[in-house]
Amino acid sequence: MTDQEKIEVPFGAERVAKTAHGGVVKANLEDTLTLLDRIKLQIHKLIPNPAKELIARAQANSIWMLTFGLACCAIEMMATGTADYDLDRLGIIPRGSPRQADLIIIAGTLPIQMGDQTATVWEQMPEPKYSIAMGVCATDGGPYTLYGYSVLPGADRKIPVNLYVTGCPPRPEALLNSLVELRHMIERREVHASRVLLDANGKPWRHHYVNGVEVGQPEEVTLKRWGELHPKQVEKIEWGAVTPELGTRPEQVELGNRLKERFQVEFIDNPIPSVKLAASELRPLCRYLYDTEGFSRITTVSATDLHGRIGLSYVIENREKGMALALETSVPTEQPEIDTVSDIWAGANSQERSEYDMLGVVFKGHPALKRILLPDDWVGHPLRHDYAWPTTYHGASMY
Amino acid sequence: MAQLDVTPAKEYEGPGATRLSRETTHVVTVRPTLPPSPEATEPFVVNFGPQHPSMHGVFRLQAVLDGEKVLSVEPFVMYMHRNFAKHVENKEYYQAVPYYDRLDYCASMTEEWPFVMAVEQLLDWPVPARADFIRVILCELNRMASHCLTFGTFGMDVGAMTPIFYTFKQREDILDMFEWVTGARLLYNYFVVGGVNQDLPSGFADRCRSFLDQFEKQFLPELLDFLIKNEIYYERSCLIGAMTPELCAQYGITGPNLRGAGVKWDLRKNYPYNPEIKKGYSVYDQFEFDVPIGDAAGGRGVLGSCWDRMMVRYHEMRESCRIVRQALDKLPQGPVQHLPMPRTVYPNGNAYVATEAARGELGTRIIADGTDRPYRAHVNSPGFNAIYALPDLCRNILVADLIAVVGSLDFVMGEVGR
Repeated sequence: MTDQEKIEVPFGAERVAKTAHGGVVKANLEDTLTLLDRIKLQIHKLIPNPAKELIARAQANSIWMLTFGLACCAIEMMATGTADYDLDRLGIIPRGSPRQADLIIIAGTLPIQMGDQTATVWEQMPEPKYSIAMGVCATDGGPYTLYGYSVLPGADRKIPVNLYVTGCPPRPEALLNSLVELRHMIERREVHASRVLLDANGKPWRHHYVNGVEVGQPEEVTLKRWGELHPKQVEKIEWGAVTPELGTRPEQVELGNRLKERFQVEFIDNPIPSVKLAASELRPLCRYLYDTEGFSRITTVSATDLHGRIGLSYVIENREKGMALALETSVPTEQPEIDTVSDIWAGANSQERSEYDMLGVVFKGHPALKRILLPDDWVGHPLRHDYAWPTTYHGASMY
Repeated sequence: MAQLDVTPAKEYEGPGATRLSRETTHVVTVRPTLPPSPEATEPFVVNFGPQHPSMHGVFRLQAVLDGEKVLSVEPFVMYMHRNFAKHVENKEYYQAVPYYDRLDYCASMTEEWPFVMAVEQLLDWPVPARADFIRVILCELNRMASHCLTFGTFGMDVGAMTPIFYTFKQREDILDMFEWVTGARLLYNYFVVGGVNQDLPSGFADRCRSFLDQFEKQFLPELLDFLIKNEIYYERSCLIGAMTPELCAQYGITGPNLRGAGVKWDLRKNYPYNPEIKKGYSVYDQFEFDVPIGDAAGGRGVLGSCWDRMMVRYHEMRESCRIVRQALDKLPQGPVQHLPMPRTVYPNGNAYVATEAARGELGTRIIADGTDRPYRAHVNSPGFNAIYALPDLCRNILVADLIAVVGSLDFVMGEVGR
């Protein structure tokens, strides 16, 4: 006598197996199925797991997204959420807190300073969570990849991404398409399998095990993707001829005469009347122009790397007379120090910080000279032409 | 009606105080002072951002709060630094225009304009009249679209959820027209050195005029009715965030923020950056339009408050409609580019040009060395100056008012972080 075989047929096989006392069950299972059993079998073929299907449908129809609009794509995300391309009809509403959101749409460029914040926000989102990288900046760095020293090449360097949407910015229809695709992925329960996270070399992130023990990610960054920098020819710049008079209008000429009496200046023929002077004369001149001549507004403080010297340019304005003046000076690159004018014009405060950040000009007497556009522990001054490009910052790679 | 307490704001010197700004005596406090609390309290530091629901991009405000009262704020703008200057230095002049687009992405064409004007100045190229008129038309439409966005988001900042849908519907109409003309909805790359990329399609004038009719006669009165005449909006904006003209001059604040403080200064009419051009730039001197300034809510609020700035934007939308109508009427025939248009340009020299963008005066300095790529490109944006006036502007106000002030200053992080 052979053993009773266990037959793997759902819905009704148990009945058949139990009624056979010993011996081999030879019944044709098709004949033993009742009508109810056949209906149940068909339904099972269509929907193998009805509870999970229902939950998946509920999740797909009610994705709450986190407002993580970073840059230009955020405007298109807002446009997708409002009147013409409504998101609410898909059940997608924006939530402010990551702890109440299912979906994060990384809409915009991720500079490297934002990487840790993005990772924190992702960790604060509870499972099940999905992420969409909207736009080319979040996909691979976009237009800022080629010469970006502080732009992360894509959101997938920091958080796992389910879907990528191309476009700069993507049309609202493209974003809606991606959200519909996300709904299909949720309903088919493919979401977790499709998450992509890249390591510092741009390769898909994998666990690395050595003898069964997990080890860290490869630290050596081998992929180089920056473009070649364009060589700069500082000796070919035509700065403009020296003129005896400042500008063409009578009030400009008179101002020029008054300046020549008091300070050691030269006038340059530029579209804006320009005054060239030594760095040590800048602060007394600014003080004079503010107090006596009524130049109450500073427009721009900008610095330039002139290969051995750093040129500085201050554009100031006198609104009552409708006059603008450009003050051009320069400091040596080895010792780029100049007196601050931030106590004359408060707006110079932040602009001087920005030039310190980008070119390393030290403004003596500035109340709080620290970096403004880059984090405090950044190394180097990026707009210098001999800047040493970093490879990683806080573990994230810019390649 | 709240009591006006016009006292100079005292600088907070406790833990977390910022030393970025000098002692100011021209900021007024116009909220009733909170009653003293019976328990002992101490100030604490809270970070607003870099991810926060108020839709102004990624920036962080480190605020020291005493309960609901803000004692001091320090802004951090390092979260949107996209290496704009390094990219423009290494790309040809035509390739650099999209980087200027992405500075103020809400009103892109107003950002492209100073760059192309600066390069045209260095090359000494005259722009054909038709191109100038097209530039004016599209920039004014861009200004209207950007102000629509500002009203929508400021409405959300003070708690109104509906206006954003109405204003974005108007924006969609304008963006459809832009797509028809330039090919793109948001970031256009349409201005070229010497003109514009391509001519207006036929039928544009009619479509534009019918849009302007609908905008002026239906949408602007609607916006007035459901948002601006709303009691809550009025109470939340007419007494806070008061900026005096001295503050604006000190910080270099321009645009609707400056005009809200009562200063009648608009680069489209007063242009000091080129001695030959005395009245405005481009062809703005051929149009009749007014420059709206703040009026302290008809005397019932404080001059330079959030209300004033937003009303300046409202009236600017109306004035932009006037300008576009006049420009469409006077649009001349002719080429739209400075012909012959070479493959690339080789300017040389040093130029600074500023134009009236939607948010203020956007200035760009270009240093060129005779090659096909700029030597240095520096941008000074209106948002950058406005953000750094926040420490002076946000003393002793409530947290909800802080959000409203930040919204009414209307800065965009793309141009601040560059």
